[in-house]
Amino acid sequence: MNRYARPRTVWLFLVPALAFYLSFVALPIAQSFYVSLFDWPTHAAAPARFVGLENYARLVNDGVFWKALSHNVALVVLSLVIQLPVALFLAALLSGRVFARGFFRTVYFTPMVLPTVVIALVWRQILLPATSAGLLTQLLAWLGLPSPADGFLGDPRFALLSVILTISWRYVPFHMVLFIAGIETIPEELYEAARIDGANARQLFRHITLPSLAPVVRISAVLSIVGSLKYFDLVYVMTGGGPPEHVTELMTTYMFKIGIDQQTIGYGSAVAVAGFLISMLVVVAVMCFRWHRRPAVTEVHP
Amino acid sequence: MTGRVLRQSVLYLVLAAFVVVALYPVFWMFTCGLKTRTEVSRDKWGLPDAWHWENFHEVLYKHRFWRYVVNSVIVTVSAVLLTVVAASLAGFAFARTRFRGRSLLFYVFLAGMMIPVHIVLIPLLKIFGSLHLADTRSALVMSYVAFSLPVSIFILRGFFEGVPTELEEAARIDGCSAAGVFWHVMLPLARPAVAVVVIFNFVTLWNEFIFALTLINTKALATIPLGMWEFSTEYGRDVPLTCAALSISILPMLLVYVFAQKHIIRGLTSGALRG
Repeated sequence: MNRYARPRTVWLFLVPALAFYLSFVALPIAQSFYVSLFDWPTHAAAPARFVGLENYARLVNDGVFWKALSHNVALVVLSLVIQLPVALFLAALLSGRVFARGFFRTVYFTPMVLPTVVIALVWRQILLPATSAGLLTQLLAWLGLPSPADGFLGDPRFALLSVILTISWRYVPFHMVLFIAGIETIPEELYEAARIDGANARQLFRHITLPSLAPVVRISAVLSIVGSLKYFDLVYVMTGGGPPEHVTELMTTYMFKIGIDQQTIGYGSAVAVAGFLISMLVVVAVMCFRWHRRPAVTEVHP
Repeated sequence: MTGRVLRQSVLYLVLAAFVVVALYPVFWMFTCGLKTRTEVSRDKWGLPDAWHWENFHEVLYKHRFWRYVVNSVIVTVSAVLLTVVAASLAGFAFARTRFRGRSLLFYVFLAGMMIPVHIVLIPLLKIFGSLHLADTRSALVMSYVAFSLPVSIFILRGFFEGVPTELEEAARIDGCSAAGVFWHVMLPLARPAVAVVVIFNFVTLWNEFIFALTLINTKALATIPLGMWEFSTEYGRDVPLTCAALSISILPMLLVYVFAQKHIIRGLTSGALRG
């Protein structure tokens, strides 16, 4: 398009971004692959020993890693199953004629601007056991319902689910806003025509809103899947991957424990590389699926 | 008629219920901060008997709180500024010039949006160590810029592509260089897109946790999220004091949100919708 820009000028435009990106994203990724092939002594004095794929062999036999991976899969599935329908429900409610719509949207979106650390610490208080006066346990007791003696985060049966629900609490509003924006782009004429044909509210939603939203739902799903595979914050602060037995361990929290806390950088890098490859594989798979039937992408101009 | 009234009441009841779900944790945190320790252990749900501001006072004047705020401001503002400069230059190049490997390079940047940050943590510690930047705010800023670039370049490139070429050609005829076109024509036009990039990155980085947790060890260099994490490990047993600290820590962002909610909601979501 631009006949005038000399190649040298073009590169000048790209240099700042490239410098940051290559030094602190591309180079570290390559280094992680390299580091994962060595056994690194904890004390810096001794030299690293090349072990080839030994760290990966260890990974394949590491039950905790597989457990962590299964929790990531649970997070992917439950996020899709919980977050998207609730978000769609709220978006549908707020897309009709609603008094103080903007107020509700703003209030619902609040969790998205709070730091995950704060969210995690508050929800930890809410989910505490009865002995520590957990809010939720007290509420359930007041309703005459039982709750786990060790609290929701202390009980292996509930810990993962509790964490996933807290994550959902934070991310539902994000998807809700995407859906609202998507619904707003649907031409009003479609609804009018259907109304003339005698369609009721439910039919309008089922046959116009839902199909028109498909591209946005797909974007939401992709973001949710990618986010769930690399999720870290809330789990790390709420449970640290515990209670003791890795009940809520994710690939990222496990990597952090080994590679950063324990400074076992060879094996820690192998865990990081495995998590990276799994994420990227899924991303590529999802993208291919998307390209197969490319939707008309909703553009929201800033 | 009664059907309509009933439907409306159910609608607003549901909407109100979700208001409680969204806000109650924050509201509880704030009221808990106003209680004394004995009151919290006696009655966790209730409102405070009297407003005890002592906890807030203690957080503000006896702890490192202001250091965290200063660190967060320094780190976030520098990272956002650097990101905007580098991303608008690169976004312009990707949108408006042709060079070999352009789309490949663009996809390399794009991939950055999907990369789990954990893959870079261990090497980054080494890299910043060898640059003599271990445990500094600069290390945090540089990592933030690197990871903010992909989505920022993506948003800005999309915007620059939408600018009519006639404007650019007119400036060319008047003798503008590529840099001149960028500075005098494109950048002023791109203000709305720059605003989106600024808001998105500001909110994300202000709340960022993993990089801070990994790269910062000195307590006096912690940002607000890291500071709150350390505060809770140190004083977590004092529930009202922790609640007061957490409440104060979210106050700046909440205030900004109240006054600029439309822009913030759009800023945080429009990057996604452009995908």
